[in-house]
Amino acid sequence: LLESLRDSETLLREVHHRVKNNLQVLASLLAMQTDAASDAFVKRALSDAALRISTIAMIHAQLCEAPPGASVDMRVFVQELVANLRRMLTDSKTGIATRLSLEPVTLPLHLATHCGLLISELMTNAFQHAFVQVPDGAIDIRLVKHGREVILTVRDNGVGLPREADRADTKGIGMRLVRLLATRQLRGHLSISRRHGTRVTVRFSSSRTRND
Amino acid sequence: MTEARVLIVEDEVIVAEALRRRLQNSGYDVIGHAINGREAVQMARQLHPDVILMDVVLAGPTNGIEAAQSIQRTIETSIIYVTAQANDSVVKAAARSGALGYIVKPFQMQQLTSSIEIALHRRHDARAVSDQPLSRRHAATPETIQLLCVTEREKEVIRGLICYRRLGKVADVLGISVHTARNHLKSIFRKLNLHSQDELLDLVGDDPLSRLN
Repeated sequence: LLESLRDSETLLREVHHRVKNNLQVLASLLAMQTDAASDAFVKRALSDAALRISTIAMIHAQLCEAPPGASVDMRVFVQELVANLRRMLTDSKTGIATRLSLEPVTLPLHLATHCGLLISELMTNAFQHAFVQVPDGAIDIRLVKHGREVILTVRDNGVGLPREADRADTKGIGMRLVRLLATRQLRGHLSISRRHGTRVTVRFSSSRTRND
Repeated sequence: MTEARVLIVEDEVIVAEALRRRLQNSGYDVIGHAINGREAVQMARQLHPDVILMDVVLAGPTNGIEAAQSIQRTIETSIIYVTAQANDSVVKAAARSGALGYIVKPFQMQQLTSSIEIALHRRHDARAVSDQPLSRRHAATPETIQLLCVTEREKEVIRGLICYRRLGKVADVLGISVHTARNHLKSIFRKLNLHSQDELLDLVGDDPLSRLN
């Protein structure tokens, strides 16, 4: 019995490893297509897609080797995620600062995953749109816990999010995904403030299971 | 394209959102998204969708098949499963639950839209049948009769019975003995799983001459 358990653990590790590799292959294929495209609009669309897949690959690499039911140390996770995102996003914009303020928060795997996707969408959005002609751009990411409630704040000092950015019929999907992830997947509350840049706050319960 | 009202049941919001956008681009009216089985049952009862796209494996206590069964007990709708699972037991359970389609992820949009169109047509047919008198509700369609290998001669006997009602007269008109006509009739009963002439006439309706050829 012990042996078969070890076997299945080995198998599971192998599967995770292959998924990780395949996601990285996918991201690389899209990166090549990005380079090969001549049209600026197509280039941008492909690089956005490559970035999203890379984010999933990163989250997978960071989280999915943990056993099911494990909880994730969000300080470590968010630090690594942001560092990785920076590497991918700062090709053109090197002057943007990211500042982290993270309380010790642990979350179940599925909440951490969706939280990671949220941070990635918000940070990408800020990098790409907030600092047009804004010097000294900065992005603050804060994670706070009050009892069971977790509060994630992503703030930038850029030009401010357009009004229509998170409407259901908008062409851009970034803020629409943020709204869906925050309110539907995390079952939380989303608020957006547009004073002195953009501040997006998501409050959700850390104890909510997938079964609710 | 029919503007069918579609409910999406899917536990990953990003997957659901991608599906919503693509369905809307194809001309469907996506009336909602349920994130788990319980929400699916509630939303189906409130919104009465024409079609429900149901993920089989859902986070939470209620899986897609259970939710589908619960929905079909209360409202009339078409359910199409959309799932990454393609193993035998799941497909069988889905079929038993009365689903009108089963699509395995990843899929092309074309596969999904044709499944939706087929489901809508079948439901339209089913409704036409339920408008008929009760005795005909479980009737085989003329198409089924064709499929069940009724011979040309047997079809003539059926047509004759519709016109003349009496087997003796039918035999007369067809130029065969009553004994032979009765043998044809028995063979028809056997193939269509019927027991009497009345049941047969109920099944084929009053005017199948144009349909039963």
